Amino acid sequence: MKFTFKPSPNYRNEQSTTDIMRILTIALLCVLVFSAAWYGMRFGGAYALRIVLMAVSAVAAALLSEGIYFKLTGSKNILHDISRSYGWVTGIIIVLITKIDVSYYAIFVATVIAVVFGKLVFGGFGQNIFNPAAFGEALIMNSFGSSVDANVTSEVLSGATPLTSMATQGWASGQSVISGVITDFGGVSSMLLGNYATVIGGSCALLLLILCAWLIYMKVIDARLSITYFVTVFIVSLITGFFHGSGIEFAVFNLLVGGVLFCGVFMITDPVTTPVSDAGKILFAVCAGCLTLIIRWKASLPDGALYSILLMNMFTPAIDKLCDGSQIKDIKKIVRNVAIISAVSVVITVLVGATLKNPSESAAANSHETAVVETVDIG
Amino acid sequence: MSENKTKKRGFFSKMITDNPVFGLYLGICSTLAISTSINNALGMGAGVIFVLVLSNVVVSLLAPITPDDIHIPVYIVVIATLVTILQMFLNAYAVDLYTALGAFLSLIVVNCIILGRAEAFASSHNVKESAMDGLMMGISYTLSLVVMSLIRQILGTGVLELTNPFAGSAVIFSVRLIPEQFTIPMFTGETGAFFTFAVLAALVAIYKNKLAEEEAAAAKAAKIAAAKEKAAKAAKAKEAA
Repeated sequence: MKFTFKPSPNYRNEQSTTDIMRILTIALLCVLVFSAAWYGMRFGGAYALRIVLMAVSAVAAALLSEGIYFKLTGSKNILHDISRSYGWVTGIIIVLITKIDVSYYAIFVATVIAVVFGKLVFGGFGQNIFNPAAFGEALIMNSFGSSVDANVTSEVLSGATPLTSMATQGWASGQSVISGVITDFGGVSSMLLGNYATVIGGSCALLLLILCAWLIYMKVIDARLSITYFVTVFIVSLITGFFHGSGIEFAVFNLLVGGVLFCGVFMITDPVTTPVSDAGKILFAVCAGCLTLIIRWKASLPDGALYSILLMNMFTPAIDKLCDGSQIKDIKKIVRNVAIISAVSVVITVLVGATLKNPSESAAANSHETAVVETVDIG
Repeated sequence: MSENKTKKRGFFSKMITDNPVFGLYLGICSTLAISTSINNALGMGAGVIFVLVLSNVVVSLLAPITPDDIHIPVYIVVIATLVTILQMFLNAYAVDLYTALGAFLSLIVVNCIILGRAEAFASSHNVKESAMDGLMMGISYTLSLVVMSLIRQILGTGVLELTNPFAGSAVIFSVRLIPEQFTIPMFTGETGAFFTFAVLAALVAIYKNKLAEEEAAAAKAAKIAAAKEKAAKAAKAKEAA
């Protein structure tokens, strides 16, 4: 019989929530400053200023709505409550996952609604069910589609993003098309450096990967969530790529473009809305990765990372219940459950990917079907 | 005792706490779906008042001679007849409103408010009381619809518009309150409906809690006063002795 004596984890852990949030804020500001610099150099200083102003309006919206909420609920020390609610993190993330043409007003309103309805009415920081930033961004995508600055759209976002370009040509197109798209956007090195216009914070893959490593090293984010998420996206798209005759480039493309890296570093790692246990975290990340790819390939949405996280947030209590029990006695059972569910979701995603059809093919199939129907009618 | 107290409170206070939608959570489905514009809200409200008053009257007349085993089918037949009359009337004279309300017009049959009031109130009260209850419930249902649709229409489209459904949707008045680029289109959709409903229901709950607290405080004060009086009487009695 062997006994180990250790203080319980919350006492062993020297980091406080405030420290974690401070480091996270620094990392987010790094991305923000880099994006502002990149847009400034590529399209002129007005766009750098625009990004800064977007961030200012989002942070101001978050702080203002929190201040008013705490005032109304009769808080004794409003400033202390605001500093413990970390609304600015939500604000900055919302800016970084929107496109640059979204109006300041849309950002402001979405942040207010995200902070108030996504977080505060549930009981404040630590009680929310859904990731507030994902909540706000979903609002922008659903509701403020028309609230864009037309000048910005025509100058910066006139061309297709890699994702939309790939979606119009068909995800099942094989090696030549995927290589073509990558070359169009300047090769894999350009994808790594983020030398194309997409969501504000999502373009520079290299910066996000470095920040991911730093944040994992500082124990701010959990590698079980981010790394599992990246690996799932990579492996599932690699296997799917084989079915369509496209090699490793397909997997690299799926990992680097869109919101996968940004959401994997900053959004899926939110400790409040993800499962508590280690096994649960891995299951959460695997399912989120699979959902991301299914939404990206099958739906008409530009990117699935956001919705996959929102959908998985809903299942967090269920996953926690699945992984409940003694982590020593029941570990075999828990690991078996997690392995089975992960395997099933990966297999389903691969099947979905393998049966993908290109837009032109499905159109041809449809016309064929109608032709058959017509002949029947005539006959 | 409590009946008296609720009667003492003002008409509006009662309308808020006994509100079928935000206070009793009845008829939420149609409220969420219909409250996109003030026209729909008023049309639906008028329809519900019509059906509710008449169904309450008929049910309270029928109640004494209805066998207990089949009372629900009987009430449903009464309500469905009234709804069909309303539907045909709207289809004939206000086609725009008829198409805007769509399935929710015929769904008044299964609206919880109407069957609920028939079952809970009209079947055990006389005709006059039932008619009054139907009118009150109908008006407060209409009020909640109007409040919700005002918020949703103004935030969602920025325009406050009222049309006459009986004259080919002739515009009675139309004011733009919020410039086009500052509207929040989400509020005309389902998401906005749920947000608005949640906020209004929360406000009603806050108001109810406040009233309950006040009542509790008043009861406590009365108790203390009574106890003091008793003590004073006892002291007087002692003195006299």
